[in-house]
Parts: sequence; structure tokens; C-alpha cells
Amino acid sequence: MAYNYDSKLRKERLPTQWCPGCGNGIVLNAIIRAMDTMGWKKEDVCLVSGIGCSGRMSSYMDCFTFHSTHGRPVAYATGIKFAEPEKPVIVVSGDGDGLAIGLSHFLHGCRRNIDLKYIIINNFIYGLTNSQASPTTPLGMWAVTQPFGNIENTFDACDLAIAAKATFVARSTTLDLLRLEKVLTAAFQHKGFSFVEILSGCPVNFGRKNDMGAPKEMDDWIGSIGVPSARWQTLSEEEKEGKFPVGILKQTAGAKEYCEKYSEHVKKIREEDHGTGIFCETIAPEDQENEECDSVKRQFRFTGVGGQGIISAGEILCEAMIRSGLHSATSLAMNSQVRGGPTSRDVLCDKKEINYPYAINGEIEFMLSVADSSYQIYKKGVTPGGIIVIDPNLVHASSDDRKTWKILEIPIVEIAKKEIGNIAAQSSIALGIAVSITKCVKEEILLQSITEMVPKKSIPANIKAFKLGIEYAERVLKE
Amino acid sequence: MRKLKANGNELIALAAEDAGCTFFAGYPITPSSEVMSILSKRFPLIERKFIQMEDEIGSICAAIGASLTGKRSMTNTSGPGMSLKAEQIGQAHMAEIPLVIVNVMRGGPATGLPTRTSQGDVLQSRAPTHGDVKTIVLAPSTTSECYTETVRAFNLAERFMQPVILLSDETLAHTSRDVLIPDLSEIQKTLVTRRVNYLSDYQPCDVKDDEPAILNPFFTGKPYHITGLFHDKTDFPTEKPDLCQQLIDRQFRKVDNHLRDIEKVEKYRYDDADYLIVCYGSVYLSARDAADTLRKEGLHVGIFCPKTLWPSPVKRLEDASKKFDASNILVVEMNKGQYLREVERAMGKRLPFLSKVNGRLFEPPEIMNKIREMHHGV
Repeated sequence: MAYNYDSKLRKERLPTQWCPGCGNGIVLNAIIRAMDTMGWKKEDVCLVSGIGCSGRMSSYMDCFTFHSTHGRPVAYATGIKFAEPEKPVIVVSGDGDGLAIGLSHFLHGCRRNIDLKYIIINNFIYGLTNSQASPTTPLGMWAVTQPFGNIENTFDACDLAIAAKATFVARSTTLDLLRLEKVLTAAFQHKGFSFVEILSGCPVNFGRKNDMGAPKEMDDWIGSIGVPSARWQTLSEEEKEGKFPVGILKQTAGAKEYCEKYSEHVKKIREEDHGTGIFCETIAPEDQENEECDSVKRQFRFTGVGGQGIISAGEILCEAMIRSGLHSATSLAMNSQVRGGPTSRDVLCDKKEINYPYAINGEIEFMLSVADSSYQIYKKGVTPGGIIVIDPNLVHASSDDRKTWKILEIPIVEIAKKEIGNIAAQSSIALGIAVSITKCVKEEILLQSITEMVPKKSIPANIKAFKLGIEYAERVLKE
Repeated sequence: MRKLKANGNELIALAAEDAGCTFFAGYPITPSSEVMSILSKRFPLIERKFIQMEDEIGSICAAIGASLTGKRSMTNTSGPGMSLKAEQIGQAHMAEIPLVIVNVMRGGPATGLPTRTSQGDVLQSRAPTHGDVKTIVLAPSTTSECYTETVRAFNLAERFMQPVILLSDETLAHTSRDVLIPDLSEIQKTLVTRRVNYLSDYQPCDVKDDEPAILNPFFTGKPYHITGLFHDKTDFPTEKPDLCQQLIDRQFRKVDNHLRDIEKVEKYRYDDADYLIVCYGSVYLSARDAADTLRKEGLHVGIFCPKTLWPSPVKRLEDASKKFDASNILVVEMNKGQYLREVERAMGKRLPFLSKVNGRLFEPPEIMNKIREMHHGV
């Protein structure tokens, strides 16, 4: 009985633009038959294609279709599927689209095991653009960009999929219609990344130019290189050369599909205690400051190297200033070294709203430094006569420096190590020192900000560190 | 209003949540990464979708794909990532798919100055892809505007069915401060809903000649096709010259005929000013301090600060050009004059210019000195 494709074809778009003898129409029909077997309605299915002859597949299939960009259909489809996990999403590429420009998305789709039905129609050539070599063009074959015979090694798409942990991998040819429909149906039934490579003929732009004059010769060649997987096992390595096993090559049952995994993950973390994940502290809108008042801007700077807690100290002080009813801004200067690069955190407060968020060079009244590299760079920001607290074990102030600024020495890192037993506590020691010397906020407000902003388990250590910072500062000030 | 302590990246993430963004796809890049890491925690906890893709291209593709299903969708990046996303930005323009793209600018070109501030991507944002596209680019100039302009970006994207680029910068991204932002309920009142058409004769591009396509969320209504090729009102490819012309004309007209809904300019102490600073982004913060301080010296300085960079506020720049002599207008940018030429084009005259490309924001005295020089005719 003749099969009726009408319900899933856009008949007004026919005939297709594909050349006589092209395998793409066979694939189109096989997809429709497999969709019917699945009972999928066209209103529920999305088909995404890339660029190349295979890209036109999306024009003819009557469902939600997206003719995307070269090499990216898997990435687009990942967004569609992840947004609507219940809907089947089919992706169609060619060997250029999927194995050259779009290889990365293909492999990551496999790794992620997102439930996409990914079909690569491999015709061994860039057919649409007139015969450039693709990653599957066999060695020695002619291509317009390999005019003396292809010298590049080839990819085996199914090997790649298996290596990248796809949970369903199959191959067929356009000649073996029953097997083609069978593997497509199995791919559609599988939950997870389902990859099917279809070996297909391009008589016009590949066969004809490689001594296969008629489409029939092209098809004979396609037929000869696809070997059923059972017989494949019996072939010698020499006999396997240039041929491919066809059939279902891998099927892993029970592997978690990505969207399911995400949804289970969401359910689990929502049941656990991870807080709200809200990332900005809301502060009760108390009386807004009178913008007409005079500026009483104060400027402070914390410097060290990346990883010393400079960034968090600035954030905490800024929060305490805002809690105190002041406007505050804290800005950052760092280089692109993750750990060990000179870092500077400016903290400003004012009764007026602050615009420019960095300290003005030469106006800083207080700086604290726990690394020599950053001290040397940033010290000139401090106003002559201003206070600089340094860790004397790490920072070297010259005698000129000591004439220019009031330099106080507190071994912050050693205190953190020896008296707290936690190097991370140095930011709270620094805050204790800063508040004790500058009186920029009330100690109890700053302490409250510390307890709210440091990790729960290190609250006691940070409280102790803060108090030690105050003690050391008072002692140094007396001296 | 809500009073928060937050930095620009945190506020972009919060605004995305409040504006109803339910899908985020990204790839790590300094200095925009915090937007992504915040949403990686927050979105799963509130049952929204977050995915880190394998590269910059993959992340914009996934975000566009999700938008096709009707989700408000966002991706974020910084300069190098913007270059990588270029082709897909064109795809979203051509296929008329809404999307918010955040670019937190850092020094460029190339790997540039990854942790330092810049306004080097302003021209790129006007023409981020090959072919003719009419981009909408918003530039917050204060920390709190990182919130409000992100919300506006989502609304403009849905209204005009195209990508909207939010150009932030490293200074805004990494400065924490006290901010006042509108309450969630106020934001929700302003949200634009994407148009749909479930009539039996639906065709995605069968719209007026200055209106965007109507793309029903995938899996709702009648199945349809979309493509990055030139297409007719059915959204199937065409190469007929009149239809090709009409398509791009319409995509330009949908923006050009609705400039009042898109343009936004802040004029600060403008009316009684003798000198005008034209700036945008975080440079505005320096300019505000410079203007306020110079006023104490008796120099009446005002600021013209576009929040929508592209399309540029040509009419308002023309008005400003009538009010101020060319020698009294100073354009200040952290690039080599990427907006200067546009301002000069609109005003029809060459203008004094202050430029900086070393990864550091202007200190207010740098701007003040330049204005003083202009005042003394140096």
C-alpha cells in the first residue's frame, strides 16, 4: 500500500530543490514514516536544520521548523529542547555542517545527553557549494578544494559520537530503506542524545566528479561501503578500510537525559537548604539623605594581592556604611591574574550621593596594605599626612614614605595565622583596624555586617579577628 | 522603591529575574561572568532554566532557541564573546527573534584588558553582524540603571522582535553601592507581552510595513517555518527583488518609525548650561562630579547622556547643537571616538573630544581641566 506523506509535507513547497538522485528526499520520507510510527503530531514536533543541502529539510517538513545557521543547529535545538523538554526536537545536518564547522556542538550534545534526535546526512562532500572537501571526503577522492585527490584523513561520525558518550548511535544508508526507518524509529524512541548517520549519495557534485557517472553508480558505491554490523565483525582490518558498519552501534538504556536531570536537580535543591540564592542585600529604605547637604566625602583604600580578602573587606565596609545611613560605593582595580595580582579596593562614603566611584589620587585618608606589589602601586593615592597601615612582614615602606605618611605596622597575616588559625580572617582584622582608626562607622554596625556577609561557619573566627584588629590598632595608635 | 547594596552585574541578574526572563545561556568571560554565576544559583532555585554552553556561539544559539518557544531569554558576554556571537546576532535580526545580549565592556581589541573598563565596543554594537541590521543598544550610566535598562531591554526586545544589546562596562559591573530601584510590582506592570496570532490565515511576516514579525511560541498554533534567508510574508525563502527589499525596509522601519518608544536621553543641568559634556556609560559618573565641581567655580556645565546609544538621538543632538557653540561641547569617551563621529554627524560640526583607552575611567579632574581649557580658549 502506498504510504501517504501528505499530512507532514508542505506540499506547496514541492518539488524539492534537491538534485535528481539526491538521497535527502529518501531521508525526509523516512523521518516522516518514523514520526508516524511514534504517533507524533506535527504541532508537537520541531525540526532544526543547519546550512547545506540538508538545511532545506526544514522547508519541506510540516512542523515547527527553523532553518538556522551553518554548524549551529544542535546548539539552537538545545535551547528549544531545554525550554520545552516534553516536545520532540529533530536536528538535521550534513557532514560539513555537523562534522566541520559544527563539530563542537555535536560532541557537547552527546556529552550532555540532551534528548535531541540528531541526523547527519553524510554525502562526503559540500554539495550545495559545488564540491569542496569535507571531513568525510575519502582519501584520494577528488574535490574542488582537493583537486589532486584528498590528502586529509577522515572522521568517522559514529566513532566520534560514541567517544563523546552519546547514548544512542546508529548508521544507515539511503539504499537500505527498511533499516533506515528502523534506526530512525529506534532513535526517536530512545530518551537521550540519539545520533544517526545516514550515508547518502550526491551524484551531481560528488559521484559524477569521482568516476561514478550515473546516479546508479553513486548508489552502488554507497551500498558497497555500508556493511551490516553483524558482518562487519567478520571483516579483516584491510577489508574494513573505507567501509562503515551500519545498524544500531550503541544504545545505553537508563542513562539520565539532560532535561530530566535538570528538573530532578531543581527539585532536589529546592528541598534542601540553599537559602534563596538572592544575591543583593536589601536594605530597609530609611530616611533618604538630603541631597542638598554639603559633601563630606571620605575615601579609603584596601590593597593586597588577589585572594587576600581585599575584595570582601571592601564589600563589607560598604554595606556597613549604607546601614549607617550614608551613601557608599566600593570599586575595584585588579589585573587579570586570579591569585597574586595586585588588587585595590576603594571604599567611599558621603552624605551626598556618590558618582565617581574610585578614590581620587592624593585624597585618600586611610590605606591598608598587605602586599608590597600593591603598596608600591597604590600608595601615591594617599594624601600627604594620611595613614597607611602595613603588614611589616610583607610590605616595605621606605624612609621617605615614613616622612610623607603616618605609617603604622600591624602583622595582619601573622595574627590571622597564629591567633585565629585561619588566614581568611585577615579581612576582618583589616576591618577592625580600619574602623578603629578612621571611626568611619560604628563598630557594632560593622560587626553586624561581618556576621551577615561571611560564611556561617566562619562567623566566630571573624568576630574574634575583628576584635583583635581593633585591639592591635588601639595599641599601635597609643605607641 | 527598593534600597539595595549591589553592583552592576548583580543588578543585571536581578533585573533579568524581575523582567520575567526564564532562560539563560552563557559562557564565562570577564568582566561579565558574575551575571552568569549568580543566575546559575538563583534560576534553578526558582525553577527557571540555566545552562552553561560549550562556547560563546553555542550560548547565544541556545538563548535564541529558547526564545522561539516564547521564553524571555538572555545571554551575557564581553568583547571577545561579542565578536564570536556576531553571526547569530544577525540570524536573530533576520528571523526577528527577541533576545537580550549583555556585553560588559572591557579593554579591546583582542584579549585586550580583561579586568579593566572600556567603551570600545560601541561601534561594534551598532553593526555587530554582516549585512544591514538596525540594532537597539542601551547603555546604563549608573549602577541602578543596570537594573532599569535591563528591564527596558527585555521590553524592547519583545516589542520589536529583535536582539537588544545592553552595553555595560567593567566599572559599573564591579562597583557596589547603595541603589534605589523600582519595586517588583512596578516592574511587572510595565512588562511587554509578545504578540501572537492564532487565526487560521496566520503568516509570521504578514504584518504592516513598519511592524515586527509575529512569531507564535513554538508548539502553539499553526506550525510555521523561520529562516535566516531573505523571506516573504510566509517566512519561506524568496529572492524576488521587491520582496527582498521590502523585508529589510520593514526591519529598519519597525525601529525608525517608533523612535519615541526607543530613544532615551538624560539631560543634567542642561537648561542653564554654557558648556555641554556629551557622554554615556560610566563616564557619566565622572562627568557628574566634574559638572558639579565646575559650577562651584562659576562655569555652567551640563550633561547630555544618551541611555539608548543606537539608534542615536539625532533630533535631540540637533537641538543641543543649536543651543551650544561647537567650541563649548565636549564629547568624552573611553575609546578613540566611536560615538564622537555620530554626535558630530548629528550636530553637523566638529567637536572637542576627550579620549582615554588605557582601561581606567576618567577622573573628574581630567574632564574639569579640559573644560577649563575650553573656557580659557587654550
